[in-house]
Amino acid sequence: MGASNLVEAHVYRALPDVVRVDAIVHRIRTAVSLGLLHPGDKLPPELEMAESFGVAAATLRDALATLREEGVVETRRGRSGGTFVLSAPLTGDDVLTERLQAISIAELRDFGDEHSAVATASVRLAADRASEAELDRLEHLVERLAAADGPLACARADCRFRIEVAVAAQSRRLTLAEMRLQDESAEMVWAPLATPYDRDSVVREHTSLVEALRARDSTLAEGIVRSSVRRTVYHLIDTKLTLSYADDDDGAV
Amino acid sequence: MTKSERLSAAADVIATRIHDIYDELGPLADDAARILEPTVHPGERIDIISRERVLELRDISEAVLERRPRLLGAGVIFSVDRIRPGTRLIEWWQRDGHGHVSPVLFEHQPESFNYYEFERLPWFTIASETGGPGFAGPYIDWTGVDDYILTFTMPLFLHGEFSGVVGADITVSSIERTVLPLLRDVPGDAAFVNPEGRVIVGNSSRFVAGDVLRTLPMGTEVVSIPSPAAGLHLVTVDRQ
Repeated sequence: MGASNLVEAHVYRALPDVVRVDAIVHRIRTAVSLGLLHPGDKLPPELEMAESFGVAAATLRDALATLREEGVVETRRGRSGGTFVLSAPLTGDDVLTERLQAISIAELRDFGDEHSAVATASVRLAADRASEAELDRLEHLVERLAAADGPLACARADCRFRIEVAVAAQSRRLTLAEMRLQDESAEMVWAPLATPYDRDSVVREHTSLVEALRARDSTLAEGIVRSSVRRTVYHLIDTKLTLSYADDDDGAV
Repeated sequence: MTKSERLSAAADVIATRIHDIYDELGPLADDAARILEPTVHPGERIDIISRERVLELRDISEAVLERRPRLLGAGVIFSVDRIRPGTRLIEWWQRDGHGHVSPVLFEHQPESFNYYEFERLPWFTIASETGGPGFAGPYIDWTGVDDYILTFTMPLFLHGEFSGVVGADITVSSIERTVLPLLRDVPGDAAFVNPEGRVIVGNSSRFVAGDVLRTLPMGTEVVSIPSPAAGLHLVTVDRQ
């Protein structure tokens, strides 16, 4: 199965029962932000999307209208028509701050537990299964992160690397899980909301991870990834704690 | 203020917040007894509760949720050996994300995969064994309300006989919003912990909800939180 099918399965998967228009807008916007969907990509036909999201056609059209207004997609009429990705939206730091404030520390910890489970399982398998070509590709992705310019470019490169580790593990489910976890977190992790996320440490971690994978040392690889995920979650918790000073309420039950 | 004074001050405010919850549960137990006692003969089991009385139980439970907007749910849970077979064991109401309150249905068939075996849970056993306030959490209330919560209970006595509990839940995320501002005033890394030493809320990534503090570093200060829920503590230690 090609990566694009996986991206489709991830981006257009059935929705939880929340406000669905907002959820579709958020899903597609994040996918474009993180580079899972590229400018020029054609979205599936409306009916097909409505079906895979599990919503009525009208709900989907409302979501697409919002995305058009935001300049994320455009709809062209005619034989070669359809809905196309226009450009990557920038999620404002204020929106990301709000999103982080809405998540409790207990939830961030739980996110970290799941991420750690998924990521360590992926690298253990990747240490056994990754091909030389895939390892070269991962090395290239680390270089891309090292050269990335700005938080969004870093978020994309980092996210790409982590997802492709799961791809190298040959597990469709772990890849989907990693994509969902990146979806939830990558932009927030890299946005300079309080203290910036230290790119050099991440590059070092990824570099030593690729070395461990090349050495087929699954235990070493697992340790590197576990501490990397822990550092990421601590970064989010510390960021949240720094930001929260601003909006404490009276705290009554 | 010295560090110890700040710690005690935070513990006192947290104690007040917990008292606020138990101050709702005492009257809730009294009201539930007043509603149910006329239908139960002393020494006999509780028969199927009429719709009318269920609505009365709903009203008193909803009133608690209205007065305390951070609580997730509230209601009455009967002791299995105090009711007749076929009577619903749990009358519980919970608010959803939009603030709308609705009843929660539980699985009571022991052979069912989702069977809710509440009589083994500490919020029930503490109240039934001591006849006093019960507390549990943080825990994932799997097959219950399926959230990460704390539960507070008071025993329900009908004609002087233990017949179940009344209780209220709060999510760990909500209690965090209540307690975190207080922990900021404590110097160093501080945590609000339950009787088994499990972190409920911490003020740094060193103490996160769900972790168990098995060994405390040298110099850790501990104060107990004076509240009906026995064994709650605040701990603090200098930042590393």
